[in-house]
Amino acid sequence: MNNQAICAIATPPGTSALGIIRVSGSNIKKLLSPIFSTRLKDRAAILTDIYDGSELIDNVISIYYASPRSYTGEDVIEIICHGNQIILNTIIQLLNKCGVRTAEPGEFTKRAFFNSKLSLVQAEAVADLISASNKKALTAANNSLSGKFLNEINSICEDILRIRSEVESIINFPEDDDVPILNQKKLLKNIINILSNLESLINNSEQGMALNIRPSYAVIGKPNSGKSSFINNLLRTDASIVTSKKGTTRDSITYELTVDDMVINIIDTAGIHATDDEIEREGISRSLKSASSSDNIIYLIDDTVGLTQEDQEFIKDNNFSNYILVFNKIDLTKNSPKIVTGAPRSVYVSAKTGDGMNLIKEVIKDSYQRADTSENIFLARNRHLQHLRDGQAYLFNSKHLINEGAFDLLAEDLRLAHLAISAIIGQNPTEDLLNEIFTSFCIGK
Amino acid sequence: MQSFEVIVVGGGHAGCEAAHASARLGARTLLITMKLDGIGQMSCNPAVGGIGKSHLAREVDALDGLICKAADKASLQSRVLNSSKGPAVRATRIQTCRDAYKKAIQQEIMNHDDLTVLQSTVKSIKFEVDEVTGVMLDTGETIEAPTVILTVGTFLDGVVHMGEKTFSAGRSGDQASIELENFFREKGFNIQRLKTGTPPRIKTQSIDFKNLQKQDSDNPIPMLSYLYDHYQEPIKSINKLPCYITYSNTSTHDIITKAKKLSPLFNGKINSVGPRYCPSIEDKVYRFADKESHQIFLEPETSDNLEIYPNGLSTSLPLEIQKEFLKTIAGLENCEITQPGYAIEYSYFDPRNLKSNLETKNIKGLFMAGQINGTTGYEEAAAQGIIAGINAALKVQNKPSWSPKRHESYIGVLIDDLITQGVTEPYRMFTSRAEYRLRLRDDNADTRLTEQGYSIGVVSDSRYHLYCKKMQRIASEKERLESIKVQLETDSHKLLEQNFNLTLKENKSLASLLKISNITYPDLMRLPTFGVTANSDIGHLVASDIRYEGYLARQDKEIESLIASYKTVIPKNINYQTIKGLSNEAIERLENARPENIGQAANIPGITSTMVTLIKIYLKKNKYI
Repeated sequence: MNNQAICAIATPPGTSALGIIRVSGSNIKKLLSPIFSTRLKDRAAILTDIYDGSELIDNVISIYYASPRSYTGEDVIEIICHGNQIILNTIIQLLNKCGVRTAEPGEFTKRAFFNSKLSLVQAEAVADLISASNKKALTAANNSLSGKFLNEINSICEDILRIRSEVESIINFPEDDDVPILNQKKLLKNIINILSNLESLINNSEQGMALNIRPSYAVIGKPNSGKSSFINNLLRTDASIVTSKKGTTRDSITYELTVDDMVINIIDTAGIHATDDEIEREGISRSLKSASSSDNIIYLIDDTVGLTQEDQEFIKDNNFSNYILVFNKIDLTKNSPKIVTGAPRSVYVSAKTGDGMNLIKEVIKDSYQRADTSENIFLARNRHLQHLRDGQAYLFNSKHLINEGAFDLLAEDLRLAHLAISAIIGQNPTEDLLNEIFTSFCIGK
Repeated sequence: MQSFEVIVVGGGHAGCEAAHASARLGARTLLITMKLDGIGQMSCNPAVGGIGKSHLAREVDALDGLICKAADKASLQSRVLNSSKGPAVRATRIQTCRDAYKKAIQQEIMNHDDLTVLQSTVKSIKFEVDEVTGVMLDTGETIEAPTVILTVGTFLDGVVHMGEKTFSAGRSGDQASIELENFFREKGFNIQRLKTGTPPRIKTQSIDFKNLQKQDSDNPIPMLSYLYDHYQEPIKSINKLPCYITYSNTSTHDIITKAKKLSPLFNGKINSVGPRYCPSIEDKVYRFADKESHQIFLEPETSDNLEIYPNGLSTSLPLEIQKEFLKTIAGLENCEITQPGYAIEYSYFDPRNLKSNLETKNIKGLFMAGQINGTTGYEEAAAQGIIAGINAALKVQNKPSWSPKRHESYIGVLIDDLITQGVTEPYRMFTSRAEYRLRLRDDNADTRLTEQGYSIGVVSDSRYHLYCKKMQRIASEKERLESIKVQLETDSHKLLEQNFNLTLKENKSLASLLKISNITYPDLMRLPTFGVTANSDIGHLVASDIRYEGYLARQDKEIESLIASYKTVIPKNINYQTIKGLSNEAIERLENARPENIGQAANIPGITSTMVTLIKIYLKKNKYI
């Protein structure tokens, strides 16, 4: 079993007074001593500061449990910090920096089980937990990397596979005349391309991570769909300007909304329409960016016009996956407020009269409860980011090997990059490689 | 007849390695072959080695096997492939004289005290319950032995296709092979079909080599066996012959395209799967229609150079078409065919029925090795043969079985892949199959395996002594490279600046310079500070070790958990249906492969790490681990 140190947030997501982070692994007391201002003692609650270098992160209580007298049977440290999600996340990132990996779902329990720390009754549930956790992780991968991100990961994997297939062909079939001679310039260009795609994917994910500590809903709509009235009604404030002039709201604005006990983000995006105005175009592209980094999209439609072909194409072109269609202005069409289930779900409302606006919260609550079956989005995305960064490091290293003609090492770094990134989508790419080689090149002396 | 401990059926590349290895371990061994003169026969192209293949062959050699030594003795043309692409993917290939190779193998087989050879045909295998007791010959005679190794290659129900014609493959004993196959079907073995092909052979004198590209041996002539290379034992070599390269062209392709209906590969007569990396010429022409020419290597078959093997022209088209398209190829305009090309369909046993020692799971003492397990290639056959031979002997000696693992050998990769994944096309080794490729070089197979081979008894004392001497020389050269430092501001430093644009900030040892990926051992030799060494010939081995140090260290943790996973045994009677959370597809795959341990389970395609965890939870809960 892989005994690398792992960490996870043990308290449920959302703001509360205290949050708990758990770390498990061997020799973690020594590993983490630089971040604590006070020395930890076995089974003692120690009040200590946590530092990232010279920067104070939080004042916390830490308890160290030396192996084997701990939950997992390994060395465990519990960090009880203030319950703010941002603090929790910052500490997790600090731990990652120290070489502690973000745990897979269920991994703490798994380690406890294999170290014989669970009672027979508890042990019965472990298999269920692990298979359920796996499903959760997959759901989390979909939520975290919904739509566009997942596509981008797939396309990066395909790009790497193509390069690997070329390099491996040159290595494995040196005498075949159909195998291309390595074009170093082209290869370098391809790798630089992948690196820049990775870079922007990582940046977007990091931004999304800050944004998505809470579930977020981006509201998108064509001009005159009544988007601002809709948001104002939803928030019951007059925060954004309501006017019928096209393209008034240019920048994305994020609002907080409380639905029952939980806080979600509502992102008001710029109106979408064809325009020659550069500032407006910039606003529209920002709209799409916030839409792609949020968990859900509310796509607003003027019910007097209905869902047009243009709308459908727009949704398809931008790969929206988790979206709700909201038909506004039923006061004019005399439709009754309702939720129509199906994929996607449709809600009929009037932002002007407020009819059906309660249904929006119903839908949000429902989808949040569904999302709750998935893993903590922050942790999932954090783990995916680690994979992306690993892949980035290997690819970066592979660049200088091209000019040196060090095929053996180049191939190894490409392999490791491929493994790291394809781990996000849970695939083992070994057999793909031979298939790619044999379909691309006529091999056979 | 005297009593035997190990019976090997078949005298091909697997059978010879198996029989000789078993005899080296001191087991009384009998090799039964249908034709004495067929022992060590190269039935396909007369070459040993190549990328991934010299890696396998040298591992067999590191265990004191036959294949490399015989190839060296029969070498006509020898080349190093990938010489500039990094030591882990470098390989050696030898074009051999078919006759000399066979002779070298036969000499070894006929001259071992513990090895007896019998020309006969085996009709059936004798059992008691689920245990082998011997074999029955077609004469009705029974020979008893507690272990039998089956290495019958393509001889099980082989069918040759040449255009419209089909006929049962082989010689007078063929009938018995069909009987043997029926016998195994009745015993519940899963038998499937594969196909492969061979090109027409051409009379050398009928070829005009004048305008063809010539390919000579490298100089110095590379050797495959460590005995003649690293250990510097003397060898008597035979005369050298070059290979030539020619190309097919659009006229060739036109003829082949027009004849598509006549190719049993494409008119529905052959349905079994052939190797994608070794396609027939019609495959290449049809599948890659936009390619205007394909490369053909003209390889000498024997030292008297009577026949040429045109590598790249494997075909199942009718003889008339073969004659027609050959004449369109440069150099072959007036060629005479000595033997037509053909495709052959044959049976193989699903190798997922084997344990890692190559013993069948359902019948104790019965081992299988070589093409019968769905592989292709002499090296792949030899690699399985030596493992089967070793383990049959270990079994009769009541010793634990031995099979090298994925991280220490290509043999391990080969066997692990076969028994966990089965085969869907003839299995050939590629270096890309090995996750730990950087440590599995073809120049360090002895450092990975000879020590282990010696301790199980398959490596002789004299060979082990030579190996130890090499290790000492490696150690002393390594020490030397670590102790010599390039001083700042010296001539050596200036040379480094000139040649590599490398400015040192402090004195650096020669060893540490080798970690820079474009500095090689010969580069170091040009530095004045390098001095004189008694071991320059093995310096490049040391350099390769140092080159990969960082990369290998990164894998150490992974390998640790790999080793642990192979030690976690899965009980034979495990019921995968009762394990929570496994999909039906996963259950089916696990039941087909019935892995012996967690490491093997993890190598089955479609078995994810979560599924592996679920199996481990089951084992832990039920107190198996």
